[in-house]
Amino acid sequence: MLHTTAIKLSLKYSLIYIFIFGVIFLFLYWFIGSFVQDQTKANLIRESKKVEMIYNSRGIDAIKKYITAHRQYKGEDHRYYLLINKKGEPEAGDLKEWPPDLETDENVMNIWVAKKDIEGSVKDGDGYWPMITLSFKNGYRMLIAQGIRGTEDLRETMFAVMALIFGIIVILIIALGLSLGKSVLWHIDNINLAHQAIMNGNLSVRIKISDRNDEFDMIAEQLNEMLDKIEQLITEAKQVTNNIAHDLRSPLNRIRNRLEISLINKNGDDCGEVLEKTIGDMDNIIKTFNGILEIAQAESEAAKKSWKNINISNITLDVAELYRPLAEDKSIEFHVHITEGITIKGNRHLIAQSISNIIDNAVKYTPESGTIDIYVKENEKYVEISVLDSGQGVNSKDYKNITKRFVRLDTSRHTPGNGLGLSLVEAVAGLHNADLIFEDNKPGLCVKLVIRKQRL
Amino acid sequence: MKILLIEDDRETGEYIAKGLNENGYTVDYAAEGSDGLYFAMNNEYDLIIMDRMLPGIDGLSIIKMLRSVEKKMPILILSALGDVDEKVEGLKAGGDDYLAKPYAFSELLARIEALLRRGKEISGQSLQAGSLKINLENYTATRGGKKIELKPREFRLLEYLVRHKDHIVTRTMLLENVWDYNFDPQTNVIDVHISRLRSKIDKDFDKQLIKTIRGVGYKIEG
Repeated sequence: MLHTTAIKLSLKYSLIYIFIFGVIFLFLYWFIGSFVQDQTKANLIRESKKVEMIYNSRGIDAIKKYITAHRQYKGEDHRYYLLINKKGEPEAGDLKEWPPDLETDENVMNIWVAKKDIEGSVKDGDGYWPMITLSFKNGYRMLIAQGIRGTEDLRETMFAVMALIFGIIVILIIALGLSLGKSVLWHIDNINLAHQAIMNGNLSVRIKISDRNDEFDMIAEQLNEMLDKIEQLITEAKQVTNNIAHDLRSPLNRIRNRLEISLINKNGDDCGEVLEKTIGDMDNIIKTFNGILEIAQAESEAAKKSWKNINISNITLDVAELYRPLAEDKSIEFHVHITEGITIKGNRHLIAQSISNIIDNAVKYTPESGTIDIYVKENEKYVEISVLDSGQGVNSKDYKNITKRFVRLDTSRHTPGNGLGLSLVEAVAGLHNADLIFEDNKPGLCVKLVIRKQRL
Repeated sequence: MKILLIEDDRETGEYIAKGLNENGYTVDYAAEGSDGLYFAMNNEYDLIIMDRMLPGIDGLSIIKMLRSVEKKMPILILSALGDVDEKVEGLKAGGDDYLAKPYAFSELLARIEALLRRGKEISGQSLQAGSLKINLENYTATRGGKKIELKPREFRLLEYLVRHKDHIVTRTMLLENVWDYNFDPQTNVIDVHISRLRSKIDKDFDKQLIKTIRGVGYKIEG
């Protein structure tokens, strides 16, 4: 588990937080320490001013009395004195002798004091004690020292408390980090599970979604949507493959039977006819394959590389005129209503072929003496090509099926065609950012190709 | 007529060569691009049939090389790549016609004939086939001195047939050259257009000019 990115990341961040907290605590510790030290200094200076005032107003004896009087508080306020005469002999105070490295100036100095240097027993222990010195006019010198027991206690307590808090924070951060990492891992495990199941061939498995509604759930939802789409496409692809096999089996079978029979009647009377029919069947098979390839091409974005401005009015008119004789042979009233000069960006051949497929269907399914109307019009947003016929129409529940590959409705089983015409139209529509819409023409079918205009 | 065929699939190559031989052409066959290029550089051919996808040097490069040394014979490209863009690319490289596989041999033959006649077509303001006369200046057609009313597209269809008179033109050739379409409509619309044209041209005459060649296409005789 330690090698996973989620855990590594959360541990890494935990360490960073611990480091930051450590630095903050050290700074706090140092800050409080130096604050206490400053306070001690200020106290010593205040005390020295007080002693100086006593000397100035009442002389050296008053100082001796002051020191002696302080004896009764000795050890309680952690303050110690020493007064020495010109020769350096102690006159009054708690220290046994003047510390050798203590110089006489105005500053507070930290001087090493051991327990044995103090008369009597005191609570303050060995350490560097802050002390201040005074020199009087008669050659006497005096020191005031602050025992460090109090500040040491404070420092120790503070350190203990801080260490405790720090320890708790460290544990909390690591625990939080790990649980965060684990929750990420849970999501990822979920995705992995689904992934493995799908790899094993179960395409219907989806990623579990928690009720947390977090970004992982969003990703999972999107992945699930993608899986839905993939499953649908694969199902369709399977369907198409099946249909191809199905569609090709009958002509191939026909060819085989025909050849077999002609092999049996070796007299060769009908040889030419057999070959001609066989070629006809082969041509249809080739046509089917070409149809599939054309759709694949229209579906690939590569078809966009030869895009030009094309005049959709002229293209539609040309295709309509191509089919007019066919319609007229069936006594169909064939009306073309085209607004001239409408252009779109697109692939001329694919568009022409699509319109041809739509009109082809209309002519095929419109009975004798029916009508076909072809419109090309535009507004600010759309270019609309519509072909309306008066045939038997299509049940609205079949609209979504008739564009599927090889789908031929029962009613059209006996007309020629391979069931790829509208599939190509739909693929071309997709390529051109257009919608292929079917409507009831009451009676008949209305097929609309609505092309969204590209912003120039 | 001498034709060079460059096609990497031996079976297809031999079958095309045999078919062309039977139709009176002399065929040199090369199975590799480099051989094909060598033949084309060192011999005179009336036409080259070139597969696009070849091992070694590809078809388009060979065409470019030949064109760069002023070899001007017509070149027909055969290709499994059927889409319009590929076709445009092939023609840009210097090809004269493009036929996507799989194709019918009759289609190939008709296109070879059309290419071989290119440049030798009747020039001038009028074309003739038998008693049918076409005036290209004012877009009128007469047969036996009698004016025939034609729509613009019918006129172009007739013009194309007459320009290729005595030779077969396939439905695909008509779609490509008269309508500029590169697809086969689901229904055979060309037949209907031809029968319309036929009714205008041949109806009142004993001699039928437009002949249907079964399974292949049409021919005008004159």
